[in-house]
Amino acid sequence: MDRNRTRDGRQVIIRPVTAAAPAGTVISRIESILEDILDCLAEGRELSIDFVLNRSGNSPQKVHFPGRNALEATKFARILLILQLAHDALVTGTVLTKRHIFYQHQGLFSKQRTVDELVDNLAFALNVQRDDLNIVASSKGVFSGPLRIYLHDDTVIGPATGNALVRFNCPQVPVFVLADYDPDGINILRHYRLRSDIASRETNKATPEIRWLGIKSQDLLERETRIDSLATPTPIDLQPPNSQSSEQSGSSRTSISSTECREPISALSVRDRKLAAGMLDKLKDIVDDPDALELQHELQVMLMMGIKAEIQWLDEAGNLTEWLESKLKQMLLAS
Amino acid sequence: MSKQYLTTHTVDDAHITDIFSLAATPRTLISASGSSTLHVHDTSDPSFPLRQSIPDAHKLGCHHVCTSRNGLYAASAGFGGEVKIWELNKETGDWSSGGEITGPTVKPGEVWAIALSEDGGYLASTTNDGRINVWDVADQSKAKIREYETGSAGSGSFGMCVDLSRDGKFTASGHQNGSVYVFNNDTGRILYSLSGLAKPVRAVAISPAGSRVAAAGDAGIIAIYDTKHGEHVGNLTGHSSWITSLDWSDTGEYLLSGSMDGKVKVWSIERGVCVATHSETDKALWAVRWLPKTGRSEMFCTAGANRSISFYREATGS
Repeated sequence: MDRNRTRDGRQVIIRPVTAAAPAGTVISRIESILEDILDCLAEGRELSIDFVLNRSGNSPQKVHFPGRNALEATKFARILLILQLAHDALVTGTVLTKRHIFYQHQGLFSKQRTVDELVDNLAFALNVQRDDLNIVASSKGVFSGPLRIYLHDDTVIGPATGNALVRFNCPQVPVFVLADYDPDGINILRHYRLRSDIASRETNKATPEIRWLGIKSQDLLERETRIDSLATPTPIDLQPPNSQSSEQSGSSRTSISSTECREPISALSVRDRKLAAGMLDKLKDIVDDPDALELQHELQVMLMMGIKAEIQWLDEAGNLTEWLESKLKQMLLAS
Repeated sequence: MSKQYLTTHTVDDAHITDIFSLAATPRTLISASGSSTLHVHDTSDPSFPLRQSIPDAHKLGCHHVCTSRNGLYAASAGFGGEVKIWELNKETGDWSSGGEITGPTVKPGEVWAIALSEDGGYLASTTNDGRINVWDVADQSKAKIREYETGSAGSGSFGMCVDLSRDGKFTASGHQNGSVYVFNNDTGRILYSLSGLAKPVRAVAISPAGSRVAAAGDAGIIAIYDTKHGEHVGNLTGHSSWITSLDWSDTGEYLLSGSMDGKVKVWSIERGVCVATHSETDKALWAVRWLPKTGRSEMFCTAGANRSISFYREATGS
């Protein structure tokens, strides 16, 4: 495993070492495509991108805008957006996931597979690996076995050893769980909690608590229940689309994706409600356990609010680090 | 002209968890929370003492409680899907179990919001799939006597709130998809399908005279409709968070509303303006209720995530 840091040292990225194309090369390839498009615009010609429609197709095809029909125009928009996102990610040294791209632009892509295919085809068209676009399949990582954590001040924590997926027996390492705000997410929390109970009974030694980072009802209350400018038109909404909204102006983020509104919030389904009631039933007999009470409370408030939120709801253009940083800081300082 | 209300009393930690619902009778206030116990507070005493505790009412917690206008019956709905009826013993002033709605017509998700008719004879409830059921709770069998569909069978939008008119003529319901329905209880048909809020409708309330329906929720706006023609007659705007609860004053002159940011507002219906805004907390209010007028000045109460119940009284300085 490789340990990378961005220049500002704010992020640790762990990724397998592969024979990667230098970021600069990929950036310049993308920029040359964008330049071609700008040239077309300047000359008043129809916009086009050379693109291999699929891996089996040998001859590159051009995708035009506005193109022959709405389908082609949409395809052009999708490719351009992915180029833009990959460019942003490469320039800023961040990593995007295909899942995030989809969730931030559900309206444009309509299904996850569209993103997956276009990203793969784009990498193929640029003659690079998908990872070279700083776009990965998923941010999920599975750790097993000894784990050493290197901090920015060069101290080392660990190794933590174990044979389970993650064993929480390394006292220096605080363990946090971030899960979707839905009954399944809370079930994960419940599972880990019970597991840690068993582990502590078995080993008869203090197991560091697994702490619940989110998403909790409070996170939704802070960000979702307010009636914002989207609901009631204000002069901000009437500005031309290319001007910065008040939300963006304080940030240096330039990606077009950050103007999208958050969608991964949805109404609880019948199944969700049944699952939540079932879990409340399992929790009701646990007495004098503040964790169980918290889970119970979160489930009840979730049912009252009637909504659920996926982790993707928290991020900005596929980037969770800002939220994680402030939340972790908050929780670590509170302890 | 604005109205002045003063906090007369706050019952701190009235429950050990969030209070989700309040229901008033002429002399008491019943509160329901995430715990299994219902509390009955004496509102005829200025210190609002706990009059009665009903333990194990709902083992998974209780999300809705309502009372009949005559003050003799109450109903409560729990997170386990169960619905219980409570009866007031007029001599002792104690509440006791009046049975439970049971049988094959009750299954999880079958009951969310509830409302009792004026005499406590009928209970209306909303379901997961948008249906509105009416039960004859006065009868020993507590049979389901009406079932209104709001979508094609079994595919309506989650029913978040329900109310019955005092004369028993109308049922109104508010749904997750933003729709509001008014049903004619005599014909058993939908009278109006009212649109306009677009976002989840968390509270619906029919005015005492039965001429208006107020609906509100995540749009932060209170929409007022007339029941005669189903016309949208006005909006009350000013809340800056989801509206969770609505209640008409006894005369129908004022509307009370509570929201997720802890604010409670009093609106003049005639003038269409907010005449008072109060907050004791910035935590969510799940319930706001007027207390039936008993000769003194007008009073209302609020409760929610801060687990306390605050009582307000109209200031009568002049």
